[in-house]
Amino acid sequence: MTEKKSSPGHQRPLSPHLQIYRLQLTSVLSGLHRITGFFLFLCLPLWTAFIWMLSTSQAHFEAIAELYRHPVMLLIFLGLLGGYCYHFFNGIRHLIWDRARGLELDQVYRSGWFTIIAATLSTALLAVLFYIKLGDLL
Amino acid sequence: MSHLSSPLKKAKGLGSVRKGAHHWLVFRLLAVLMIPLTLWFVFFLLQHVGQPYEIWISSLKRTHNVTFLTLTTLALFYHSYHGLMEIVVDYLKPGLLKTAFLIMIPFGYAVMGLVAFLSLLQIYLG
Repeated sequence: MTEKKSSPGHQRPLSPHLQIYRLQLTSVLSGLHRITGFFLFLCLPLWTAFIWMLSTSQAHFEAIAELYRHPVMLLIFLGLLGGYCYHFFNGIRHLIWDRARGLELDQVYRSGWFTIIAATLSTALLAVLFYIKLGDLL
Repeated sequence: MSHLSSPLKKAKGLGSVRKGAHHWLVFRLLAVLMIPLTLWFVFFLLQHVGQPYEIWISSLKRTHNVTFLTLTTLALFYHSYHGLMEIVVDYLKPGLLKTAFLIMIPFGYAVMGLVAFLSLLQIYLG
């Protein structure tokens, strides 16, 4: 509400200027944390709808269970699983930073690569486990 | 990086008047708590995915399951709510749309959170 009048040169470019800013591991992972966090909010309506249907009747439960087994839904769940694994490890990274530790550049890059590897491996492992659990239902 | 964790006296008189750090701290403490909670939740889902109705119901009638499930659900709602609000505050230009989001998100989360909580309670007590 004050930006037009109070800043003398209001034509100045925004900083950091995303279009000319070279992507680095640090900035990509930072952006990815927000993006995964945003999409993970989808877990809430999906989970709420599920336990709501579960609380009403068996027929409702069967209906939503079948819906959640649809290939499109499985793809969404796989995405959410990957998002959770990434957000989980990168979140721990952020919590360590909040203690003002691991902030040297080489440490940041090392923990960044660790996050990528850990998230990828845990996503793959959990995806396989869930796939086995669903077994002949698919 | 010792200069980043400056002594308290450096911050004295520079911070917010009252509870500036309160929300920041609660969000982070809850995030720490969510590490075991969500891990437990994934484990719970692994055990129950693909199981029939009766198994789900009998599991949700166990007090320790409902306790953890309720805690996880509420923590998830709180964490997600603050994250989403931060995104709206950061990326939307001031205007009608932003204001609408800032009003609708708390309302939406309150309604959805209540439905989730009451459903869990309904199964547990029902």
